[in-house]
Amino acid sequence: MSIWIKIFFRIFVVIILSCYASIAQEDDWDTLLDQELEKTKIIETAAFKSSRVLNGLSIENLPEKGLDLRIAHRFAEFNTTENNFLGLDEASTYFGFYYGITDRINVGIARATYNQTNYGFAKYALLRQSSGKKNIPLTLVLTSSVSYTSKKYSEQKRDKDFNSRFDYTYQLLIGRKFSDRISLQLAPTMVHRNLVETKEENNDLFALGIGGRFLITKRVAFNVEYYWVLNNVARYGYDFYDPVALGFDIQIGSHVFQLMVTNVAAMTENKFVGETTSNFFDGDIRFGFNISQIFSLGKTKD
Amino acid sequence: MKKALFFCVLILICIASAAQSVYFTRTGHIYFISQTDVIDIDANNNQVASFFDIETGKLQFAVLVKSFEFSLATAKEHFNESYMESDKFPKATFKGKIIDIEEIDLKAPGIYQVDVTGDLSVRGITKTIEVPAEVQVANNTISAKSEFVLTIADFNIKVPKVVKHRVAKQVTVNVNMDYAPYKK
Repeated sequence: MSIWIKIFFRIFVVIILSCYASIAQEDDWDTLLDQELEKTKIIETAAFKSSRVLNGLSIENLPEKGLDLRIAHRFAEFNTTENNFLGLDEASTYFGFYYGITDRINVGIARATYNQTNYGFAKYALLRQSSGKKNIPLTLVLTSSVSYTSKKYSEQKRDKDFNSRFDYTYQLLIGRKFSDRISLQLAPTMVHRNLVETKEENNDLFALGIGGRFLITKRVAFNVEYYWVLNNVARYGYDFYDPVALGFDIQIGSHVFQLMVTNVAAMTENKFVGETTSNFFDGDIRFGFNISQIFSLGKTKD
Repeated sequence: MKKALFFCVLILICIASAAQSVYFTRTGHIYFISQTDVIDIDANNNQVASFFDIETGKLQFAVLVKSFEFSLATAKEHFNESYMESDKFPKATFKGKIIDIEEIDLKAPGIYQVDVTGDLSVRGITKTIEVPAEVQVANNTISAKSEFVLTIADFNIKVPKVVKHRVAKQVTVNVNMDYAPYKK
């Protein structure tokens, strides 16, 4: 009998000691609270300052009920003629509105003077980079845009061909904010054009975009963007070139100014991926800017 | 043998009482609002972690700054990037105690008005504050409420001139905690 009591007593002491160990830990609230904070669910935001890296769409979404008024210009090349004030005498312009239906779903409409294009896009964030409860290392965003060329064609049959005026672009944006300063995104892109100018050209174009930003100060970032277009062919003997852009984001309150040098004249994906005629590395460089002003249309639910 | 048994019981009682005095929550709520003539900016956080020792009155809070959710679009980004620098200063903490803890009687459910004092750390700056609080004792749970005002300049938060009229110099903070006995 007493042996059983002894065993019981020993087990009891072990249990109590382990209890005491846990009580001793309770006093270390700092460590315990830090452990709890690691489980806090956080969705990374502000990988880029704007909905566009420079020319192309970025993984950054507007928050719910955010309205982004955008005005953009791309001027003529610095080296076009002697007397054109570094290209600033001519401009291809763009204005539009982007809107956050939810934090995940954004839409936008725009008008661009290049080929008098009407443009619309939708963006959906499949995955958002998060830490804490769920660890998601990447942001994945699907984008789809449609462009309608409204310019007049002199040829009657071409002018009346409604379907031929549509181009579509699909992108999968894969991005990550590596640190508060450095973000990168890859953008596999497909552009489908209902009608192309010459027989040799492909209706479907494939490209891989890469964009990055380096935050210099809290309010100034340096961005780089390049699209590697895989299957573009020359039109009437003139080559097309890969779009390149280097520029700065400057944030003042809810304004973001994006100032850049680029070889791109058009500001819709279908045209800048498919029809960039300037060779950046041959000095055909333009100045360009995007202005973004974000408004909040009402408050979101808690 | 009887001695041993007595010893066991004594230890058990000690543990039981020690363990029961510590309360905890992971889902505490903090709300703050900045009010100006132009715009009200407010935010909620439901992921506040906190310990509370009802015996000693010791109290400790921790929260990740990035987990505040704003009702106004784009406010969250500015809050984290420009004002709080959340990548540099990810957490805010409070370490303090209830001064008049002896007034709270665990066995008597009811509402107690108390004062809390302690060190609030935000953006790496620690400031001692003293605020009123209301503690409600119920069956097996304790809830605590407090409302106070913080001056943002105390924590070296700089507001750019262009948006000065949109951000209040003082923000009102509401803390609302529902504690349960802490289980390891």
